[in-house]
Amino acid sequence: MTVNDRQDSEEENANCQSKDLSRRRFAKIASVTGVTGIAGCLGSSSQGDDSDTILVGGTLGLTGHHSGTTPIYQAGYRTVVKWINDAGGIEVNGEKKEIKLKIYDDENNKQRVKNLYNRLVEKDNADFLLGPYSSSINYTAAGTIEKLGVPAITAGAASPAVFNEVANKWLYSVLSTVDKYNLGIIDTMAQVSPSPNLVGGIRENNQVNQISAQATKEYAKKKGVTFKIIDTYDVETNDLTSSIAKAKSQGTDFLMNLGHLPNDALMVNQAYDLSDNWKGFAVGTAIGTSEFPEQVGTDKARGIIGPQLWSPKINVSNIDKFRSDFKREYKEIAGEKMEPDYHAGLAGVSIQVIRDTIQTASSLDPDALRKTLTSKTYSQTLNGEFSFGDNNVYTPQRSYGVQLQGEDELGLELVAPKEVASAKPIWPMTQFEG
Amino acid sequence: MPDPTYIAQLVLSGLLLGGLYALLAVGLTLIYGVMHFINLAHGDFMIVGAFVTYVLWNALGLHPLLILPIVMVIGFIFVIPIHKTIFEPILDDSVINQLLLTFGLAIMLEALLSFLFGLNSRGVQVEGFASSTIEIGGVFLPMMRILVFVFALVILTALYLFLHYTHIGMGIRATAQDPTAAQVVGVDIDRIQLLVMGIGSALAFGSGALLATILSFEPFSGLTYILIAFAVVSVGGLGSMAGALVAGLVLAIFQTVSTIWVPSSIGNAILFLVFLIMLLVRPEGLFGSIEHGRGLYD
Repeated sequence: MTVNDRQDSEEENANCQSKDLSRRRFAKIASVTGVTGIAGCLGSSSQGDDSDTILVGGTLGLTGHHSGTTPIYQAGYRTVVKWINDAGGIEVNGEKKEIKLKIYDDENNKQRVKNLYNRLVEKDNADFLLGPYSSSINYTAAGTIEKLGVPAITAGAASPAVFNEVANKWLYSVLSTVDKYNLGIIDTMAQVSPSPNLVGGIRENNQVNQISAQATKEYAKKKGVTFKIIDTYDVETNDLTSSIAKAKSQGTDFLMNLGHLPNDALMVNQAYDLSDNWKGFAVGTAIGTSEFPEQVGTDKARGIIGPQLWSPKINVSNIDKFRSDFKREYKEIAGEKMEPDYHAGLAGVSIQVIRDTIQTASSLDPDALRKTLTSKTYSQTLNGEFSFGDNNVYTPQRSYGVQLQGEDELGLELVAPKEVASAKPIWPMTQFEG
Repeated sequence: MPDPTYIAQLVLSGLLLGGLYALLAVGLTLIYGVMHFINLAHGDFMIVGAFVTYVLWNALGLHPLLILPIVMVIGFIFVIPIHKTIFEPILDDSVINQLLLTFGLAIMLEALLSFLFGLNSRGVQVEGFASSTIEIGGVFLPMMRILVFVFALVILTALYLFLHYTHIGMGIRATAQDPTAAQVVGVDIDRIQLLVMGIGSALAFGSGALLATILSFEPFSGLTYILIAFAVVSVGGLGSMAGALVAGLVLAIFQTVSTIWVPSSIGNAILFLVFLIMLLVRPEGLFGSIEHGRGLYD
């Protein structure tokens, strides 16, 4: 099987197996991004300084558990690669080279991810790598990447363990770690009036949300917001009645879920059934998905707050052009109805970092690139200005509070921090205004 | 001391959920009571019922409670080929063989459901009156949960009346008491066994239809529910319908009320702790098992 065939087959697999999340959305993105994937596989597999292209390669679980999210990354990469190539490419030693993107399907499989990164470096001669999606897959990939000695940027590893335990030299992250995840929600609560009496959190019983809960608690204390984790529940639960009743009994008027889509929707649906005395709700990763308003209904979803690690609405003047261009071109690639969320935005940032690193180093030598990564301050990005800290994670890490606002069609408005907000939070949620 | 309203909320939430547990467990206990057959796929039958409800609700646009009788009939028919080809040949085999085979069936059903529907959680949305909530002294009771409880009780009452006041029902009870004697007096044991398997499956499908209206479900949810059904049946007494009803309600209340003191994440563990204690202290269950001369025919 040729690389082209394989890519075709992987795209087909991706289309078949993603129906559990968002078949239409996936198909739309994958069908367009597939063209580039295939195009990326054309031509010589040999790269290096003498090639007229720069090969940027990575893996994503295009099939398997995360197949609903990974096409968003792929479309984000594609958008910025297109920008760069349309502008003539990246200048290396006075010569402009276009980026060639090659993304393999790792099927969310740890053994496969190791093999594919080895292949990308040893067979395909990738010049720069992109990390996979999910902390556990990044943890595995990081071990291989560190051995291969090729610089890599990931936008899909939220667990600090990836950088504290494995990645210390070659893998760099443009994604905030999970301990920063909910800070934007606390920022939102710190600015609303009247203040909530108690922000009551219920969380999935896993390590990631335990870290997130602890960090949220410390940040809330600093911000003067009363926050408490009320209950933990099984990730696979289908009933949060007891957790919500417990939160209510302790005086919670702003209920927050630290978890993922099915449980975010479950909490909102059941919280409506158990009280009409809330000021509002916050959910976890569901906030940026199109499935969430579908699962709870537009009326219940309106006004719900959530965290985002990037937003196309960040109100910072020096990224205005990036932001509007990215939004427009992302929609061309991913589909007109698709708003770029933080997965897409940070995927775009990954490519911008690769561009700026190569241009600054004016070389494709891995050591020169790594040296640049550790010393450069990146300013021309969708995420504003940042550099990479000692733990290889971008700094300052950011988290935003967003809220679903609108009438018939809901959109995410950035409501916190105030300095970069695109709208004021609607508070309390209109459904509970008496 | 926790707020009385909070305790009342949990007790009533548990009670309403208990109706569903009882309905599921009664199907399991009925089959065991008559055939001494343990169907580990019973929880997956429930989930198949939930998916059938989901499909019919999407296709017909009818209120899920109107779909309930159709789903139960489908459940009855669904098990007939399974009984004839898989269950009947092993009815007299060892319990281990029954467990292994029905466990295999459960895995097969889960794989089939995940292939057909993917891994996402599903649920059936109710609207109008059924989606309202009643507030009594600060305790909020979703109307759909009340309706599920009422429907579960109605089905269980109908089953009780069927078993006690119809000719076929008496045949079923006679088979449960003494299959040989029942056969001697003219009861067609094979037919009774098929009928009981059909009723058990219809009850599982029916509980799945009710589940779909109040809780989310996915292809692999069956395991959780078969464990709950086992706990209920064991605590109530193997083969005892009344035991399954009482144990279903008690265990569900226990499960929810325990979350006052422990995290919800170990709510199921509490339920199984009660189950284990019961096995140690009173292995025949609250109402005594069929081996102890009590049960289905009470």
